[in-house]
Amino acid sequence: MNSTPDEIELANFQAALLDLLAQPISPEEIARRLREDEVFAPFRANSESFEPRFLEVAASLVKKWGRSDSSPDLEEDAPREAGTFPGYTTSRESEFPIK
Amino acid sequence: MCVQAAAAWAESLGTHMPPTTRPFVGLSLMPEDDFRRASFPLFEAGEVEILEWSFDMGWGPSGVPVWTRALIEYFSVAERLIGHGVTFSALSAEWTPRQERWLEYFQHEIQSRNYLHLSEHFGFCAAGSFHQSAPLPVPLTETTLRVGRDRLQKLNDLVSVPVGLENLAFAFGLRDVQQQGEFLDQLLEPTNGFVLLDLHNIYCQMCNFDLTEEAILESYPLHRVRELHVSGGSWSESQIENISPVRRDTHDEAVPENLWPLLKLALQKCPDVKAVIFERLGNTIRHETDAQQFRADFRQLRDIVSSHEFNS
Repeated sequence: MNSTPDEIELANFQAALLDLLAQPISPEEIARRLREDEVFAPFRANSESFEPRFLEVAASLVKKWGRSDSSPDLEEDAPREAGTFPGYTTSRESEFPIK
Repeated sequence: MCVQAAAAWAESLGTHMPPTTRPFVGLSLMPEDDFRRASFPLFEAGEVEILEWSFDMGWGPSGVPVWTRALIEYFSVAERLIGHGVTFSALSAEWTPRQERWLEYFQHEIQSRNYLHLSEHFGFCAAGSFHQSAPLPVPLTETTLRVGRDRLQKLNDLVSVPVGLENLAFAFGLRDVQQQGEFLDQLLEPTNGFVLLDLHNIYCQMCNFDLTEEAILESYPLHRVRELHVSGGSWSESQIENISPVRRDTHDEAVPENLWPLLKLALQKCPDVKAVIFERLGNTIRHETDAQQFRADFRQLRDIVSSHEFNS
């Protein structure tokens, strides 16, 4: 599916935000990167409203529930008959991200 | 429990499902053993009128236990099953092969079972190299609205039952809270979708942003609310000095007392609620006292819904 330029911009923002929240850095550093990194510029009017305590929570959520291509417990594709959704992790806990 | 015993047990519930003119009261099904032990007395007494199943949990490599499957099939045949997806990521801007596969599995799921309606979450939980995370809010813009409507249309193209979105507890700031109701309304308008209103998520925002229940509820398109969620949660202490703790929707504690008045208010203000679902995460019912609290919370929820006067 072809994405429009504004969708690509949003996709880049979302990817960079998850990457940023997954890093072992302080909420203050996350806020600084949101203010200064170019990839976040198109959404700065919104991200300026982010509160440090919620950046802290968001970072803990992404660290707890986030699974990326480099996660060690990523399952290989499995046959559909086995009831397996490719990309899922093996532990029960990690199959159910909570808000 | 073996497959035959589970099926026979589920079948035995059939005498306990009277029709009702009020919203059905039910449970969000968890496949863990502690949840099974705590909830079986409710099922066996016929107190669970509808079941919500987070169907994409069942797509994992470990599958689901036979008792879980037996319950799902029983409620499906009884036409008392509703579905709640967790990992679609309706507001991810990038459309990926992962989502294409999710839709394939979704199509298989809805062909296999009778769901009364289906819902997913507001927000995005996948982007770039992340294929899974907790759902996070996005700002209301032309772009996010177009993306979200497109994803909802993709879901609607596959089903003949209503499709909805659940409000998020988490917000990066007050702006997210103030926008979410309008955002949901605009997202759902083209497909006439419904809102799954999670009352503990509303409660989290009341606590975290010092807002009244009226102020938050009135910002939502309450005429679209078809399902309510009720649960407990917890407080998260901040490492930042002089910062208030954050209320989070963790589904791991008793329902807070302040939620019951919010349920009564929501029942008054939402005229089209079909189901009220109690949520408790598996592996959080560690002691018998937790199990007793779980059942007490469910019964209080049921009593409030039962005693509410519905116009119809």
